[in-house]
Amino acid sequence: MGGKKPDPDESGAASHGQGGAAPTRALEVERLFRDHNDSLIRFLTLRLQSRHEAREVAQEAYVRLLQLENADVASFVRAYLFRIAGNLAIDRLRRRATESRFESQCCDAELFPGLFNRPPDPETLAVERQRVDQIRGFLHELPDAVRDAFLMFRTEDMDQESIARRLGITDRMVRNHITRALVYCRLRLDGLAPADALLKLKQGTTR
Amino acid sequence: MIVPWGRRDARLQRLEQASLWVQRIRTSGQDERILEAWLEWCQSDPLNQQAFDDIAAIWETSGQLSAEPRPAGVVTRTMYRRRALVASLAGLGLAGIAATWWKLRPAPDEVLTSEFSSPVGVNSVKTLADGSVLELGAGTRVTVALGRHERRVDLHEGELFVAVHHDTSRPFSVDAGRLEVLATGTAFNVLRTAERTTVTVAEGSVAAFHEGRADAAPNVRLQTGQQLVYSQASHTVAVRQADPRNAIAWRSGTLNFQNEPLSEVITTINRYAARKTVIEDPGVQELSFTGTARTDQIDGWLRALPHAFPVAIVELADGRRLIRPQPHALSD
Repeated sequence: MGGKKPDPDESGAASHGQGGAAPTRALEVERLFRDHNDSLIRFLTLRLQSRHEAREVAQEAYVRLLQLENADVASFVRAYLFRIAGNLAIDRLRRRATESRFESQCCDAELFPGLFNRPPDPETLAVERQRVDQIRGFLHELPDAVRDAFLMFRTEDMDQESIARRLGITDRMVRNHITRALVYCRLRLDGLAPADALLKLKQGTTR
Repeated sequence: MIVPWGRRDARLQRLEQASLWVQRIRTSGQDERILEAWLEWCQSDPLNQQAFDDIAAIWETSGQLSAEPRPAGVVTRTMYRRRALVASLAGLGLAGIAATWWKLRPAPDEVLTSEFSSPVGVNSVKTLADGSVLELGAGTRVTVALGRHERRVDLHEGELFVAVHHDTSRPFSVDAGRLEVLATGTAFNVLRTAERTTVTVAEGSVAAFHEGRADAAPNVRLQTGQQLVYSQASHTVAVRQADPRNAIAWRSGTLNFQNEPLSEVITTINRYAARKTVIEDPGVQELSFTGTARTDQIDGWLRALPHAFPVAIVELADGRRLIRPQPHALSD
């Protein structure tokens, strides 16, 4: 990693900051982006159900970090980034509930390269489609109730209580089914054979 | 990468916890305490963070399954099938009261039936609601009916390995046309072609019932390592010793054949090949083949065939391949 020195010319997006601290802060934020952006986007995507909005909120969070008054090292730990982003996500969900249409108020320009969607190339699309097919196949290897519970939760946006009523099982079983579906797909994607993945699931705590 | 067992179990736990976090964030992620606790969990160990990312990636990809119709599980009321009932009683040595039992049979069972099939060239696995595991060979089609009193799989075509979840109150049967295999908790393989059905027991024992000739014994009990071959044409049954590992090697991509007519071999080969192969000549159909074929190297196997037999492979205009007698060899 080392050898990265604050570059006096590297002001760029960090020019909101104050005096000589800005380049360092820009580097810190950039490091956070580099190391944690994927997780942050996943977290926000889970919250907002929209990858695009997740990216917008993430960008807003980075801008907030860059604009912090009295920033110290502790400001640039990941937890802080996530807290800011989490709060922004809550704001957005609240506003979504009261306004029928939500206009982005943040930044047309892209703060970090790769933060926003660019049109995916055909190869990436093909890989993604293949991955979706793979997951579909894995899910079909599972007992029907496990797959149904998972798909209701994931694609039909049903809450766990409703799924439990629909399937005539307890909330806890619904939770376990969803967990098993996710873990099983992961194990299969990691290269475990079906029988081995099933055996592994049985060793787990959720049965 | 080889991960020691201890580590792998820890990984399993992390994946489970990560899955629960995904669910919590989805359902109550606006709760700051949840966010706090989640971040704490992630930060306490980089492997936790990794596990979360790994599960979140699955979550994201599966979001694109939205247009997926859920597989049709149809609840139907079906009558007990007489054969299965009589079979289970006879299997217990109670053939004498089987008929009485039939008259006093309980109300029709409520059964959930579902159809499963695997495409040509691809094996697949299905865990049933009762815990039994079906492994389908390529190009295989089954109907599964799970009732409170009986579990039944109809094997329409192809090959099937079953690890039956032990449940004495619900006999488990595989029906392959005129042959029925009955088990409670065991593992066995059934291969069905047009000509015959082969049952191989890998673990435990099964009872096989067939609609054979009137003078034949109605059922055969098979133990581990025994194989039954039922001929559709002559309605005859033969039982022999066979290494179950050979019969189920298809699960790891190897097809094993032991003194099989070439026509039977090709029926199985065709389930794994995009292009079909046909044999018209009866002499070629009856050639006896012993050996193996890799399911991912069917083309190479076919090319090698003329070295082992006096045959030639002809490419047909419709894309199929014909195995025909090798003219020179026959004229010798």
